[in-house]
Amino acid sequence: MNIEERIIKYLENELTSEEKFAFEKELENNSDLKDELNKYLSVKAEIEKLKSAKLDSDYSNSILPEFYSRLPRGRKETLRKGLSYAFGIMLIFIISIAVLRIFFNSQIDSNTLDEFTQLLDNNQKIELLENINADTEVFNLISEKELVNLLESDLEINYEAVEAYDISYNEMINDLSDKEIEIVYEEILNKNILEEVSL
Amino acid sequence: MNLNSDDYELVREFLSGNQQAFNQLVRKYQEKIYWHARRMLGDHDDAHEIVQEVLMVMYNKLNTFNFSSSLYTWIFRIMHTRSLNQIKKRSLKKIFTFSSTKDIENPVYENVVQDLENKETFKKMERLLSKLPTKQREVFMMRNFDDLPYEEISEITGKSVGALKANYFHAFSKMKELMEKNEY
Repeated sequence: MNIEERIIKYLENELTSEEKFAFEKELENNSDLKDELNKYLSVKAEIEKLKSAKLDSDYSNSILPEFYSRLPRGRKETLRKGLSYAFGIMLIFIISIAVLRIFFNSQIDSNTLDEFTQLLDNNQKIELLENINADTEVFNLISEKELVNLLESDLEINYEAVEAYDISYNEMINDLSDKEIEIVYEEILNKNILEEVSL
Repeated sequence: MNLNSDDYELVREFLSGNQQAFNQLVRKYQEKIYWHARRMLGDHDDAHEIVQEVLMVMYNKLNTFNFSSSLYTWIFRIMHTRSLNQIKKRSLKKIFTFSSTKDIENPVYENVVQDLENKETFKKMERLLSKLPTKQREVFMMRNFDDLPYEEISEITGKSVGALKANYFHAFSKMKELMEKNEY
């Protein structure tokens, strides 16, 4: 074992008790050995100084908060996100159903209007037409007489139904919106104008 | 089973959902992690990243820790692996960018050492340690700064005790030489 090995083993407490005793005995009389040992002891001394070094408290206190800021979103957040997506999809679904329902109801309303107009007599039809907004261009295209003719030829009136249900014409009119009345009128009128034109 | 009762309790508490227990573990070990990484890498930015990475692994993987070693050994192993990976990355960067190691000191980050006297000693020691090859540096630091026995260092690094002792001998001799030549 060379000097360096002996010194390092001595400092690391790796010498046997006999080897340690012999080494310490030699130290008393060997100045070169002592000098070499002191050099290694200087290294150890500098290391000891550094072992007591502390981190600056500001930096030290910032480590955990930074860690948490880097943490991926937790399970709760993921669940919340999933629920938000599910809710969004459900909302779109509900809105779609509502829109489709409105669309189909408008179709149904048309059919109901057809049935309704069939219950009207001539006077009722005229009154109906008079309730339509006078500013509509279609209404202004033909005379009142022509209107009556059109309505007479086109609409079938189920008097029995009218009597059976005691349907009040004015009530029916009042129940219709302006738009509904316009639909009734245009449906009847346009059909016959087209036929007139084609003739 | 290797039991440090405090660590055991804290790990158990954390795994039961107590976040404060994890925070306590972090406060207990964060300085050791930082200083080890700092001495291995010689750079605050890299050391800081290592700390954050080690905490992330702890947070996600503490449920796999079975107390067959001390918690500190377990953490040390993670820290050691991450530091070595970082050193390899830096070496690769050097090759591909032809740049030398960082020699621009960021004065802000030197302030992480609390007292002034230790700052100078710290810088000098950092310079000396950077001159040691990685394998020598790691065992020298673990023996002298972390006070780990060879057996535990062997468990952490996967190297034999004989190889560690040989590396330690070379490291210690080199450090003495460098200080002698006033490179300190």
